[in-house]
Amino acid sequence: MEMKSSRRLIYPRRWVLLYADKPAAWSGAVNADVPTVVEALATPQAV
Amino acid sequence: MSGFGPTRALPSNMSWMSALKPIPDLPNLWLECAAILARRRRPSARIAETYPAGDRFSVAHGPASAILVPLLLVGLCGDVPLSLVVVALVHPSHPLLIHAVVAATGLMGLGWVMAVKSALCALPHVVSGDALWIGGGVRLSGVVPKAAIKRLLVIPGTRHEWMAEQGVAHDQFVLASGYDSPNLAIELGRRR
Repeated sequence: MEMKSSRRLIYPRRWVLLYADKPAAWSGAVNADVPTVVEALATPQAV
Repeated sequence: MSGFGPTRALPSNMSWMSALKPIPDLPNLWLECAAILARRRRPSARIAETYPAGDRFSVAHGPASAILVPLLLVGLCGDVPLSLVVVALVHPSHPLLIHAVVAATGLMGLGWVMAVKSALCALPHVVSGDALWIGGGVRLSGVVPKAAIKRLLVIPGTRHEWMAEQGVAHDQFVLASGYDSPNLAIELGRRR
């Protein structure tokens, strides 16, 4: 089944706020690479 | 939802978007509920298969999401005397109809939160080799290239306290958590 949804850019919004059970465990996982782009995408859906 | 890149023609300065990954779908929570009841394969499980291998970060045990189902069960217990009172006071001639409406309303809510809980359990955040795949499956899905992540901040208190402390305006963030208050802030931008 195809979902009706729209795509929009997160960027230029500067922050993505999310919940994770163990936030302290994240820093080692995401800080490994050298940056090349600054864009991101998301599919919004109202709760 | 299909595939790669945006549906409209891209301006030349946004051609990088064609190289981005497909965005994961969000599960339809009513179909999720129906699959739970029918013991069929859940939509969230199908979507979870599209997530890559990598570090997985659970989102299912937050302070709010952990109590959703018990909260609704307690609410259902409250619906029984409510139903009896409504019938006694307003509609003594149609007792079964009133009981059925009150029960159906409560059961729909219970089915919804069961679906939410199922989606939260099936779709953790995943950090793959080159991107963060936003899980949760309730509010939004998305893929953030790791290269676009400038820094991470733990939010120790409430979101509003953190926004005031950091000077973050309401139009500067995207809220990706469903029912739980966010405890992690990802700043996008070029690292220096």
